[in-house]
This record gives sequence, C-alpha cells and structure tokens, in this order.
Amino acid sequence: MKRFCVIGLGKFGISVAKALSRKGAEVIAIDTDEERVNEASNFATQAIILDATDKEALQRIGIQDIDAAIVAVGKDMASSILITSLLKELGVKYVVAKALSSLHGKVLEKVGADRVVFPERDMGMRVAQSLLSPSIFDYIALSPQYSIIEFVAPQQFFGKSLKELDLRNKYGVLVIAIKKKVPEIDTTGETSFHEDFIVAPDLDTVIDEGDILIILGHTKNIEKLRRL
Amino acid sequence: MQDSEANKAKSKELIEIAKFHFVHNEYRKALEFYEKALKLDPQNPQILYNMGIAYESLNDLRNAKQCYEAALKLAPDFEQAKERLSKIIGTAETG
Repeated sequence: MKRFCVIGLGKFGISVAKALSRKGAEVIAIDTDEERVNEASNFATQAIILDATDKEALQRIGIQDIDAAIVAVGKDMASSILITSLLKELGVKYVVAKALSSLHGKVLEKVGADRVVFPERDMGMRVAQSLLSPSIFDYIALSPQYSIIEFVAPQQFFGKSLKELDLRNKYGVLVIAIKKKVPEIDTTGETSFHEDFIVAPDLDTVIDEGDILIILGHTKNIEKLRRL
Repeated sequence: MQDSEANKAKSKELIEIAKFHFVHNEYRKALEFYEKALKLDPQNPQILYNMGIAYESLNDLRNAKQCYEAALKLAPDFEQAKERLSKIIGTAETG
C-alpha cells in the first residue's frame, strides 16, 4: 500500500488527505493545530500534532520511508519552503507543494519540489472559463496548449452523426466521450432523466439536443468551436 | 369554480402531451405544452417541477433552478424539487 504524508491541514490539505484515505492509501496527517489534527484523525491512518519545520521531529516519525509528501501549508510561505527543502534533504522521494503565487512556486521548485500545484489559481481559471462561456461546463488544462472541455452541443450539431460532423478534420479536436440524457418517467409519474456516459463514441453516434461533448484539443481549436 | 375545474382538467391533458414529447427527447416542445398547462393551473407545483426537468435536459440550469424554486414556493415540502435544486446548486459551486 502507498504511504502518504499530508503536512498542513487547511481546506486543501484536508481534502487531499481525505481523498487519499478514501482510495485506500495510508495517510499520515500533520499540523501544529490540535483541532485540525483531531478532525483528520477521523479518517487518516495517523494524525499527529507536529511542527514540520523541525527536522528531528520529521525524522522521528519516519518521514524518509513514505512514498510522497504533500506540503499544503496555508499562508506561511517561509514555512512551506523550509518544509519542502527539509523533506527533500531527508530523502522523501516525491514532494508535492502547494504554491500561493508564481514566485512562491518558483522557489518551491528551486528547493526541490517534484511538483508544484496552484489550487487557487487553477480553480480561479476554471470558474473564469465557465463564466466566460456558459456552454462550457468544465475545463481541465492539460498543458498551456491543450485542454479537455465539457461542451454543450450547439444547435448545428443536432441530428448529425460524429462522422457527418467530422470535428477532427474541421476543427482539429477529438470527441472522447458524450454525456447523453435519457428521459424517463419515475415511479411517482413525474418526468426524470438519467445520464448515459458514452466513452470513445462510435462515428455513427448521433448528437441530440441536450448532449454534452467531452472534447480534447488545442486551446486555439477549442476556442473556434466555442464560437459556434 | 366550474371554470377552474375545467381549466385543471384541460391542464392535465396538456401535461400528458408535454410528457409524451419529453420522453421522445423533444424538450422544447414539452416546455411549450407545460407553459400552456401552467397558464390554466398556475398553482400546480408539479408542472413547474417537470419544466425544471425539461430545462435541465437542455442544460439550461438557470431556468431549471428558477422552476424548482417556484415549485418549492408553492409546495415547500416537495422532496424531488429540493433534491434537484440542491444538485444544481452543487454543480454551480464546483463547476
């Protein structure tokens, strides 16, 4: 089983720790705040009150033996940088650090973070994207050039098959899945629907009104499609 | 009084037609008939709820939300409407 250590149990740290525990991983949760550690003790394998800027304390809990550490220290940049550098010094194989700004991110990389994440910035970008184009439900940036979007099928697509639409050649994008709503009448006699998720859809699949397409492509091409 | 009963009966017929269109993926047509039904029976939360479902099927969450809210105003204990509304609000927060 994989062993993880989450340092800093604010909202981000707690949700990472919870998600890892739910997937069956062993999680050591660390914070200096007793209340937060108590909260984490409900799901983490071990929840410890500890100052992670203390090298000896980290050694005592066997930090060098874990598979990956997540530095999710909240607003204190100096601590997050110090902890990241200590973890690498102690031989932790993989360190993920949360950055508050791009400068913070650069420093974290310099002190050895294997991966730097910007949860606030990334979430902000997703919210902005969804506000700018209501036809886009969700958005994942794979790189600055490529993204995956959830795109509400525009009117021009209704009743046409993927073959006829030929999005790959016309727009340079790939439809990787389609969410189709299936209308039904429930046991109380009211209308309802469930969603079918068609992965790697057949070229003969016909697009209906209400369908949501999950599309992979170059950001520029996705932008062209969005203007439809 | 008689008028109102007759209106409700007519409204029921229109709702059945709307549901027929709905199950055949014709959401906009369904909405047209629900609108007509609602004019005849404006205090009926079920019509508003079903309209919410049709709007959701069209991915029009803004109108869907308004319909569920209006249904809950008429019937605050309408569990299905509460459930749909909380799902939509959840989508808006995470999306």
